[in-house]
Amino acid sequence: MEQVVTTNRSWARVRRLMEKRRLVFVGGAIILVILLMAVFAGVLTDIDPNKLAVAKRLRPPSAEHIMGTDEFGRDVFSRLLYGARLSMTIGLSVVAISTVFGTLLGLVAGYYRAADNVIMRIMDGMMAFPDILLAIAMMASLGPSVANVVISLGTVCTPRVARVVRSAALTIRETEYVEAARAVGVRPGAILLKHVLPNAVSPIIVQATFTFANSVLAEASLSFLGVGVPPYVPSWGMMLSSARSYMVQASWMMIWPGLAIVVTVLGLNLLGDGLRDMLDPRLRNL
Amino acid sequence: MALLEVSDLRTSFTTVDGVMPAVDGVSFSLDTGKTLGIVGESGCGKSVTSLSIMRLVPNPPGKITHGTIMFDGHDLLKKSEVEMRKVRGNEIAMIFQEPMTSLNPVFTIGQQIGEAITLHQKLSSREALAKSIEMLKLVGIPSPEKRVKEYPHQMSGGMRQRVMIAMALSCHPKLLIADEPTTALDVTIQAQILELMNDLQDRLGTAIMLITHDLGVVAETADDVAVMYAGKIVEQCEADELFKSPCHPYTIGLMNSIPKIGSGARRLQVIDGVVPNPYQMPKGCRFHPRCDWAQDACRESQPELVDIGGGHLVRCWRAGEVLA
Repeated sequence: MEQVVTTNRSWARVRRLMEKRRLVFVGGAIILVILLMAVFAGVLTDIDPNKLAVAKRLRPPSAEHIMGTDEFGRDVFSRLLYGARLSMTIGLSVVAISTVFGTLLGLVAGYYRAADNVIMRIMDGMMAFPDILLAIAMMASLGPSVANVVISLGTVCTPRVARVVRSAALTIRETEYVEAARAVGVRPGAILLKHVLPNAVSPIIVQATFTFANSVLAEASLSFLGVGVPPYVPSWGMMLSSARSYMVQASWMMIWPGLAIVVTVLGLNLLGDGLRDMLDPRLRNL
Repeated sequence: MALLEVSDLRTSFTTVDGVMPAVDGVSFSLDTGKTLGIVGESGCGKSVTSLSIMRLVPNPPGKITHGTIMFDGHDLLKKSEVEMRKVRGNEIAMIFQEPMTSLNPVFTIGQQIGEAITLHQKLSSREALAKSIEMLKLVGIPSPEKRVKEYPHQMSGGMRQRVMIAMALSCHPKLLIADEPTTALDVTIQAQILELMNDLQDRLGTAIMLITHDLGVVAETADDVAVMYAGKIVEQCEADELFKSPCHPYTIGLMNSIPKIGSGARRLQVIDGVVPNPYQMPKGCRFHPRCDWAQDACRESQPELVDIGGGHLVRCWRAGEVLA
């Protein structure tokens, strides 16, 4: 009986939350759809994204190629799906790398005063470069490959995470429960992981969604500029780049990948904004 | 031999404005099972004294520059950080002023007491949980089996302070440092918490160092009292003696500042002036600019802490003459 009541209550809570924060769920739904597209790319289409058919180049949308074909006769829809797979893979990997390293550096910088200046000045130095320029420089030295895109974007995104985590750690280290933990004899490392980190989770989550959005955009930019993934890998940025020359004759080549980028980044930003509001107790009742 | 013997402790903070001596030559001792009250207004160095004993003075900017802290036969100031961690929580425990913020909001009560227990005792998590429940029962929290799974925000301030006490006592420390444990609580809860601490002290034999600015709290709990002013102890004796015959003008001023019911006075009595700027301590007795009894000697040189009989120590040139 009691179980039923609590379940009903939690459902009511979810419904209330959905009504109040419609945009978070819209953003979440968009990202879910894109993720599903990425995972089931092979099921949703049986056309090989790299299959060349020069005879069928620049065909407008039809029953066979629902989003038309590009300058080499490759199916745009199929490339869009596999492009989603690339964007999601790179986005998630970049988030993983920058969150792990950024959180680690931020926690150490925020907690140990001696390390603060060393770490944060290096981070500031990295942030002094425009993101995309730093990424391009790294790609130029590493060479084009998916892994290198992840490495360079991960490096570029880390300082921002570190900065957010550091500021959270600075606040949390002064709290009385951290002092109380010290007074009980908890080791500094354990204080960082058990007392500081769990209380810094919400800014980390929010930063992660924005990092995700930025890295999708950054990957597209790098590929658009020709310093991203190698040419044979389907990528939204690369598709846009090659569509430039055929903008007038084959507008579908440009519209679909462009739309995909816009929708994905919009979804991630909606999600991030909403999460920030939900996780920030000061804004909870707005 | 006393359990805790602090002698000539000096702790100072280095800031951009210079070196600030927060604790300046403090000595006292505390026996097992006894309660020492340390009284003084904000900024007189009472909290820094307790943090110094725990070796938790933030460094930089703080630094213990001089003195010894003999605890149970060992000098705490000579211990390494690793050795100190074994003392903290295990042999010396501390409770803080703000029960509302002294508990980590993301862990349950049981997890937090359990952490304190498993740090110093080899217990499985189930045993630690059982011990946590036992401790909660000891501090008088109703239905501890349920409470142990709750989060701090589900409890009131008084409850949380009980949890803090349970956590502090979970490893049976020999010394409990209570830094203004009742300041943030309302008066009825305050009385309950003090009673609880007295009661637990009788049962467990813990020595308590009670830091407060509330003379009423001292009267209720302390065996001995040290009154601090501007980083120094100005008067030290048994609690009864202090309330019967306070000798230092500052102590007398503090006592007169307590509003008396039925006295008919319309304004509260206060000690005129403010605590001296720690960077520019007045020459001579540090209290002389605010003292009604000050004379030339007070402005010239610093008085020593002298015994005026029966272990009643006073730092005043006119200790014999000034009597309330």
